[in-house]
Amino acid sequence: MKILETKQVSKHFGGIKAIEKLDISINKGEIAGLIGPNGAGKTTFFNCISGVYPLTHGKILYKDKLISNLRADEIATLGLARTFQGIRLFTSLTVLENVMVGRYSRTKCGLWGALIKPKWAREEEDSVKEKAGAYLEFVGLKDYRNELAKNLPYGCQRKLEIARAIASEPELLLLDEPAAGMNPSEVKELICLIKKIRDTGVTVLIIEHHMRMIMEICEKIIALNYGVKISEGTPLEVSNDQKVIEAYLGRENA
Amino acid sequence: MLNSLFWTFWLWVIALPFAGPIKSIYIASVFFILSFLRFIKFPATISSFKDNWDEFLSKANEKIPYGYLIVRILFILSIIIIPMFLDRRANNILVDCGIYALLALGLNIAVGFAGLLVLGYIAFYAIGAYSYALLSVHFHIPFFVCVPISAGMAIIFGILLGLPVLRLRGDYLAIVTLGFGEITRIVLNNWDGVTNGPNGILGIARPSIGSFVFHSPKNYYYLILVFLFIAVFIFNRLNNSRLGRAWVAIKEDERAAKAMGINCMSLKLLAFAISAAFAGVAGAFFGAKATHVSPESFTFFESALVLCMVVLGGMGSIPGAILGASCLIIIPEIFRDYFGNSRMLLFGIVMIAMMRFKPEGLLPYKRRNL
Repeated sequence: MKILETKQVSKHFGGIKAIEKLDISINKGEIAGLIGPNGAGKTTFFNCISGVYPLTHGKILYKDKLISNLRADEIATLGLARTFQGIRLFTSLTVLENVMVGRYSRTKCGLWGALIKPKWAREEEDSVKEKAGAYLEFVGLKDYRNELAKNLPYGCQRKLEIARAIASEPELLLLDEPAAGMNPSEVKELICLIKKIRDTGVTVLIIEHHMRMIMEICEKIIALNYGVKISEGTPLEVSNDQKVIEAYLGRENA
Repeated sequence: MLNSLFWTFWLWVIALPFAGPIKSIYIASVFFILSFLRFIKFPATISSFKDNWDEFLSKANEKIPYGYLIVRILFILSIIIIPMFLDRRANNILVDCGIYALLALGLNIAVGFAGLLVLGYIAFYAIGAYSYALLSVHFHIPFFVCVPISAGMAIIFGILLGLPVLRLRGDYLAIVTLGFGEITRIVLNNWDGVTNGPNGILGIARPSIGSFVFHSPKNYYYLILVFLFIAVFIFNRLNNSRLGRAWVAIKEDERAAKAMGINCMSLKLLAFAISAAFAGVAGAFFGAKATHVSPESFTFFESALVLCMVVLGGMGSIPGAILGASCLIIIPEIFRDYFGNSRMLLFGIVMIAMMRFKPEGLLPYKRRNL
């Protein structure tokens, strides 16, 4: 079953065609990878899916529902979570509070709930705290609970961003270069974490330059170059595709 | 020793234009003696002051089970009995502190929580004050009925302004709100038929409960204290809620906040409206206390002053806002006796030093451990 489908999606910035007529579909429960050289339009594509940019043309369907006309927060509430390429944590909040913010779309305490604090609001707050704690444990940041997010080491910040994203109980998780700047042992941990997340029933779409990681965890890989899909298939197929090799290394006798 | 002498001389030179040569010698010599007795280390005066202050804060943050409670009770008792020992003028200053603390708390919701730099905050204060003034003078509606109406008027104007304007960020928002502050003042100044122009509105009724009429500064002190307690309660509840976290998220990173499913526009509008409501209440109180409102009370200077209080105290911090308000109202009053008209200049120097050496504010907000 398709969880995400894009139809002829284009995004132009002035004369630059960052994405041109992209057709992609992601099946439920798989880990899919999105690769391509720098400037291929991968992050732009993520921004289009998550509603940061309006599309120039085309449609994006999430669980057969049109989402390309929705606001970013509405899309997130539907169960589509993401992380960012440059880490975007709420730096002056504690680690736990960052994850608690992630629960925002699954809770509903508003102004009056906050002021009057009826029983349901207190229970909701307690459950948010409890679940946020559980997600921290899930990614292995339990010990940092009360640290400020900005004081965490880099690798932990990446993990915290993932914890914050999965705290909203998404069905589709978009990870934008989660392994950037990580050392080999951290990458190994990350691979385990992503697999663990998939095993909870979340579909994962990853942008990554770390080829070994992509080849290891992805069931399907989509390669972009200059905003156009150049290859799609299993890791083996894509890594042997002449177009992909050319995009990364250039053409022979060129 | 040499260092002390150098810094004492420096202080004398600084104080010279404000206090004249003789008085400056007094001031400088007091500092010299203090430094000689090692109460103040001059070579790094401000940084050592900062270290001591930080140490004091971290101690104050440690919760000693009973001692902490006792300190709290003593504090609350002292703010209740303090006006009994003060004269009329001092009490008046305290009431002003209370009004500004209310404003600073309100502005803190917009600036400290949601990160909306509002430079025309005093406009909502003016709207609250004029709402009560007009209702009181023309319709004789009692104060306590008017307080929610004033807050409501401020909220309405807050939303009307916020709807188009909150799409802007940072500097642009600051400029537009600054413009709104000025527009409000100019309208009040020129709309003679309703606001009586520059003369303002006279004869506003004082607040009363049954047959008791609030008349002395002491009465007003207790009234504003009640308002402040309510404001602190609301502020605290908001801060430690889903909304409070969402506001901080918007302030820190709007794009990430959106990706968490936070509707930034409506939450910003909510912060703006609540913030305006605080100012509306403070304005109604101001009108009732002064029994007279005129546009000259609502200049840009007042907006800047309230913002200074928030920044000086520490953004998003309750004790910070109250301390900031107290400092910026009381210190110029003390300076008035010594430095006359140049007190604001000195006040500016203090603010600059503050921003240089403790930019996070005197009592920065510390996230709770959950």
